[in-house]
Amino acid sequence: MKIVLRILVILLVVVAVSGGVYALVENTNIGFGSEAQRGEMPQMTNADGQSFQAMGERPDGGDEHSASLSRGLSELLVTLGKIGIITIIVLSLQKGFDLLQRLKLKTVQS
Amino acid sequence: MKTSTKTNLILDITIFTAFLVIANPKLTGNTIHEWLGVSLTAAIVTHLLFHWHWLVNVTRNFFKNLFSPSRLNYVVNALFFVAMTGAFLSGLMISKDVMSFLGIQLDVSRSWKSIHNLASDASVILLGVHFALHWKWIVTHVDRYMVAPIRRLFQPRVRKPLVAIPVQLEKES
Repeated sequence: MKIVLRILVILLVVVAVSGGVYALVENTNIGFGSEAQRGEMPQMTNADGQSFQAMGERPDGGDEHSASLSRGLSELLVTLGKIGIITIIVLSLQKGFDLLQRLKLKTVQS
Repeated sequence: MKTSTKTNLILDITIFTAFLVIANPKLTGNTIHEWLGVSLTAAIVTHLLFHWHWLVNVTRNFFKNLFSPSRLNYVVNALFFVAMTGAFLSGLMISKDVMSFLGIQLDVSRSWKSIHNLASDASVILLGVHFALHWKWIVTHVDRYMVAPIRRLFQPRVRKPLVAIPVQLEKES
């Protein structure tokens, strides 16, 4: 019973955050213009002044939805590298702060 | 909810692996990416349940001691939670497989795609910070539960040397 209540609390917070994000995205122009806001492709004109759709239908076999082990693995390694670099930066910052605090303590004690 | 450190570690490693796979949709293709994303929400809710007492304690006493390491941890975790929620929501909005499976068709603005990318990138950065803030715990327990047992497998067993123990016999009277 306790756990169910806790799950409900977590889900409530999720709904609240989601509602905030939804309101923010739908009520502000984040990222795109008015055409894109309505879910339409942006209109472009060619040299003759005739308009055409820039990115019509995605070509079949487009790489966005298909899996590729080699490319996927290389991207996974890139993500791991990013996480690793951020971790190293934060850890060195922590070490730096620790050293500073120790120096401060030493000066106060002496 | 009382849990052992081992269970915590197993769940965290599972979430981390799932996160890495989800962060690279080219590895699995879109369908698995979407369904794995949905199942990750359940894993994250479990992770939050495991750390419920810490969560409640720090939330209650947040303003009592603002400049303690656990507050920084709390703020990073809150931002991570918002980023992940944003990624899940935007993912659902632009979803092709999960929503069609549920029979829902949404006509939403295309800016959700850029929100999804933004939230995912923020999640990767915040995961790095989250990882660094728990570095000691991770290193200690990975060593205890994963590295040490493997190390023990390859270590030669040291036999105790046989030592003669003198025994005093009672004299018969």
